[in-house]
Amino acid sequence: MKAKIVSISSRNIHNERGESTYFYGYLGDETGTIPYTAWAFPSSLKVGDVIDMKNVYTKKYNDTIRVYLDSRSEVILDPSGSIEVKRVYREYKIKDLSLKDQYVDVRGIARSIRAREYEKDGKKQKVYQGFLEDESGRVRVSSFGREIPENKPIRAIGARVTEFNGRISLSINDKTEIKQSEEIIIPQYRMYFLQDVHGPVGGITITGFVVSVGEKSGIIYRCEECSKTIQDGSCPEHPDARKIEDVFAYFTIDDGTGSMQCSAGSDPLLSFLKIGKEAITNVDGKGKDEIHAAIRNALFGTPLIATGEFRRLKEDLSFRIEAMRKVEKPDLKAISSAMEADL
Amino acid sequence: MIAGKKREPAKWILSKELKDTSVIEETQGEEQGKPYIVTPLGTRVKRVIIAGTITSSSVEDNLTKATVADNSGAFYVSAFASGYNADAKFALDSMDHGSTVMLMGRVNPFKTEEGVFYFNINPEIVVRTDSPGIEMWKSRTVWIATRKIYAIREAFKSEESDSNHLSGLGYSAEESECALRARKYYHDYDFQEFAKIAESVLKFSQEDSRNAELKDIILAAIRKNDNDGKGCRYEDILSATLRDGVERVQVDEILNTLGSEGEIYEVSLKRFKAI
Ligand SMILES: [Zn+2]
Repeated sequence: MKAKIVSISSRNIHNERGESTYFYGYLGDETGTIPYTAWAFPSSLKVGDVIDMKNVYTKKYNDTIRVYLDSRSEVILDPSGSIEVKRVYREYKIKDLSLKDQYVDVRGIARSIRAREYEKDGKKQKVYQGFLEDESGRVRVSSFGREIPENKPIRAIGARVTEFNGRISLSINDKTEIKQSEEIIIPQYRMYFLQDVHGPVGGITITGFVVSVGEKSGIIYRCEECSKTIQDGSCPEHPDARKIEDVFAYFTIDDGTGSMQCSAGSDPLLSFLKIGKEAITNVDGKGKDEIHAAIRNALFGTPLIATGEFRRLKEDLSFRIEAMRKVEKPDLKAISSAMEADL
Repeated sequence: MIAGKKREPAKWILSKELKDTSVIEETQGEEQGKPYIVTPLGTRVKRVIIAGTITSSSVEDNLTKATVADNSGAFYVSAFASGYNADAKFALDSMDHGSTVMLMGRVNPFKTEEGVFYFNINPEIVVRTDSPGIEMWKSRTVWIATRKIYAIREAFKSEESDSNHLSGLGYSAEESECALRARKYYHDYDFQEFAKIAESVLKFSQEDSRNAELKDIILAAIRKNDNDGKGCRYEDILSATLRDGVERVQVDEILNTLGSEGEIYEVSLKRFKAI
């Protein structure tokens, strides 16, 4: 079969036989695109190449047909070949976006869109940045040169999925088609189990018990210039800048389907502890110990409901909390109905 | 940010799932510590998170034993004063009968010469929790068990159904693997009975929370209708609960409970005051 390489990604795996690399992505022709997995793939091939393949096979995996290339498959580059690939984009809920499918069809409501100017090749350009949310989650979105209609349901066909700074983001370019969409109802909580979260997206609520609280949770110091945390002494880049107190906590939530490393900065933490900013300013050593103890006592073993954003640091996901509180009676109804929907 | 290797994940299971377990995996050469057990629902467990009410305890200097009930049965807990988890023992020592706790610990399996299995939990965390904490644990644990039972039913339909088939039906990797282990080790287990008991645990907690709601309504009514200082009249309580379709016997029951809990007292015949 003849096709154009639409995308190439690779992954390293370790198993009994040692370390190996496989490649995956999309192939396309005039009729559409199809995902592939290649256990062997000439390293000279790149996106846009037209190739002729022999001895490949197809198999259904995760409900989609995939093309598989193994050591018996032959791949020959057709340097003069040209194929106009017909793009068909799969529809995704925001929570399920991943780099496995890089061009997608998503619906959502854009929020907090801000324009930023930058210069490219001596010309002023505009990029619009903000968030896109649907009933399942929220991601960052950016659009080059084209404004994104805000606060109403839109559909972006052919938007590109990227992962930047450990977060899934969507990028809209001139090939992306933006249409009006049917109504989208944003629920009060997008409540999920950890077993159902696979990508670093935001706007998600989880519930569970706090099973460990980090020893270093408590008061930290930041550089007034760059806001980086100062380990000891002063900021290496701004030795003369003032040190500003801040507070943060890191801890593990276990929800029965998995456990997640969480962190909370001063806003969610102070409001959780019901204390004001003044409680963390100008504190001495004893006061610092008291803040640490207060954080630990309030969190350890507590049933917690927390909303925030997942991030991928190295391989693992972690959860950055925007709001949290102890689970109370009214929350149980929301928790139950999230579970009933999944039975 | 947490140093060291990943901790062994904790499983949320009902006491019945632990009690009915009859498979202890053999420990492999270099593996350290306690072996895994495989429960009837196929859960592979070393560490658990449980929640419930302390129904008995005996405190000694070196060892505290306690039972924690979860409406499907009870967990047996042994906490030692020595070693890494001494804090958990001291926390357990401070709890009275009837206290509700969340507890995380390692399962210590034991098989007698007669082939009877016992499972003790050595706690690493013991924390007092309130009714929402207990309810969250119960509803989540029953949900996890119910999903596993559904997956097990699918697995039993055909000897050939594998984890691919089960994940295609929407089950998670963990649920699929559990179902296959259950099929392998617990062919004759009464899953129907387990499902029934799991459901009753939920009913129990729904009743509890309904009663808690009613208590609040009745207490509020008593405070609001004590107009002449002689106490709220019984009729006013009834009319306050009427729109919720509450039966008179239920109201009487709650009034009795509130009385014995010291929340209210009967000033004169059928006249109530909140404390
Ligand atoms: Zn600095």
